[in-house]
Amino acid sequence: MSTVSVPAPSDLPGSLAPHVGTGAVETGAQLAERMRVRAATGYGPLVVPDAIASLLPTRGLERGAVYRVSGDAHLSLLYALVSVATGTGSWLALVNLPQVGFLSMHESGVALHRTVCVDIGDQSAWVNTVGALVDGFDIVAVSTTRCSVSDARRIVARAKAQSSVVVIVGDAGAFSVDYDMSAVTTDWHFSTHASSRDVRVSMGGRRLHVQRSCRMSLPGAVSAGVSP
Amino acid sequence: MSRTVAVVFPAWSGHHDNEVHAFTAFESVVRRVGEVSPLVEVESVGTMVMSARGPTRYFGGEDAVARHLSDLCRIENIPFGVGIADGRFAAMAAAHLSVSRAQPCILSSSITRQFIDALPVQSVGRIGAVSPDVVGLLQRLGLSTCGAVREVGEAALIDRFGAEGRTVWTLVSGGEVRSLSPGAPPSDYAQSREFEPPLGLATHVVAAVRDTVALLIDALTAHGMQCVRLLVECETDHVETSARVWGDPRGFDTAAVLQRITYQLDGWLVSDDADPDAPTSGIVRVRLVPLECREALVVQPVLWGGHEENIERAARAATMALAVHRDVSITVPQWEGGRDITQVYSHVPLAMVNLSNVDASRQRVTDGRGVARDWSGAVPRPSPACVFPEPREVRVVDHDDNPVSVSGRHELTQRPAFVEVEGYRYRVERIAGPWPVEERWWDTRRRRRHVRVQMLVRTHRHTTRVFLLSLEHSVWRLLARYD
Repeated sequence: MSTVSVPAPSDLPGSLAPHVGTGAVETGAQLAERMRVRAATGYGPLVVPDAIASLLPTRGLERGAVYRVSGDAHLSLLYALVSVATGTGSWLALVNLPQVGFLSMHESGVALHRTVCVDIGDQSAWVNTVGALVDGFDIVAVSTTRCSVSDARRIVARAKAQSSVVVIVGDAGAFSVDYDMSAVTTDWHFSTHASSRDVRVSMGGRRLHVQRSCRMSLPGAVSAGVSP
Repeated sequence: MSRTVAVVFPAWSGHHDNEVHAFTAFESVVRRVGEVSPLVEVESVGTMVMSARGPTRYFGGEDAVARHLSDLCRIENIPFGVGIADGRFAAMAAAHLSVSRAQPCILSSSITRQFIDALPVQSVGRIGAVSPDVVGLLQRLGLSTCGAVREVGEAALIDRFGAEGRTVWTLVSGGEVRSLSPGAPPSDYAQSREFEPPLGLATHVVAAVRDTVALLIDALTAHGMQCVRLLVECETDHVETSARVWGDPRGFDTAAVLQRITYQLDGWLVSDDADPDAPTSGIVRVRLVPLECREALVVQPVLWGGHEENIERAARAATMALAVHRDVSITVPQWEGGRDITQVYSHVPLAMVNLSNVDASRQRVTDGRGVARDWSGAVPRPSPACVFPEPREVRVVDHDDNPVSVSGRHELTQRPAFVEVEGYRYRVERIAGPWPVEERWWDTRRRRRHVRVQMLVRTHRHTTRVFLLSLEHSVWRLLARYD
């Protein structure tokens, strides 16, 4: 098999490209080593609450990767994913998500003072705006991804270069999703009011060989100790 | 003490409406007032301060100046106040008083002293930019008026509050805070930046001058100084200029300067044929001249060595994103409080806040000492994750398809069996509530009566969801969903 010559990934230890040849599959040990090297440079994965960390192969949100959240508890899952990271200095941009409940975010431990909401009225400006946001925000959560496949690739390439994380809420559209997370409510504890619920979070996607899943309580996976 | 004129627009300085750009309207007023006195100083949106000396001589007396200014500022029933007094603090307080009286308030030099003594201590915080902590402590100490604070004495105030105590003392004793350590900085701190081709949008100019501003602020910081008054001059290709003096009692940092440039240009760079002052070309030159500096004493970011790198990155990215298109708007959440789940947090335009000021940002999202559960009648925790900005109308019916309503004692008239949301029919399994809210029942115009109900419903796919519905004026609305 003739190997296509690709531009060598940057030789920096923190480089985001996998240090594997084309066609090879990265083993778990190699991934762990790559993550260890990267964490040492300060560009390790973004920290997530312990309950979710067991699901993620890098035990955190991998910089440069595209995540998708879906299911009926998708917003609670999003808040849980970003809570610890925003509490420790990462910035979050919410693009075209006017329905987020800030009070719920606050209760999940999201640092609202590092959160901005972006509303893009004109669809033609979507790609450039999200591209600009990816440059500076560690986590960019987007919905209504109406863009072409090439534009989506360009945004992902920019996110990789700037080590930020893209989270897609709902339909992935033209994006090729690395980690697909789905949160489905299994049981609501409803006595005097809706007090808590059990959620089954399952995870798939092209970067995972086997589908994983776990049960947790959302909101409530985060210790409420993180104050904004 | 020099006579000072102050003009305030409380409607523009307090709330930041997203729909109308307050500063666009304010800018046009500032330009009109600028014809009366060329050195109008703008502290923030809605506040103008200028020296009374020149205009008084020109118009023949302070009454005439006040009347002329009132004529210039009267637009579309927006409340405003004009105050003339000795010193900035007294003039601003007089202007605020004049808002409620709907006529200019002129204090002669002989009574300015008594006027300041009678002011509530909160005005030191509101007008003099003293931190809320200090003002709160003064109040708790039982010092409710400025006169009471003055009697404590300068030494005791400085002893307890440090530099801030000195500011408080200067304000209540009728001094001028800006003259803490006056002195014009050397002219070589002035920076200018030229553009080729001309830039037609305020956001583009702001993105382009960011480095220049940072250069200026860094140079001042390196000499242990903070700029408190800054002249911003913008020039178009056709030599139209807009010059404005901006002041900030807390000292400017990069983000604050950029914010002021946005204010100045957003109001000016409008392609309005009716406005004779509107520029006919884009901006080719921006010049920044620091007019007054003081030693960097107070502001912490300078004192404690820089701020988080992440903030700078995020702020830069946000500025760039805003420059992409006119229809892009960026907002940040601000705590408002209350029982209404849709209004607990409001959206404030990015231009109105300074992301680099960490303390202010923290305060913005947590202010209002309590959290929602402390409000009687608030929806119990956990709060819904998905709150609809514009709640949809829904139908709530019982088993026989009769609409469900609420009795005068806030009890449901029937047992809800189904909820219809946009054609989908959900079977109601459990109900919590109704939780009634009677707001401002003493006020005939603003009173509001509604109930909220939480419903556990089953979808046609046999999954469960929880809805939060409200009933107001016999209309059910889907307020939020526990996603």
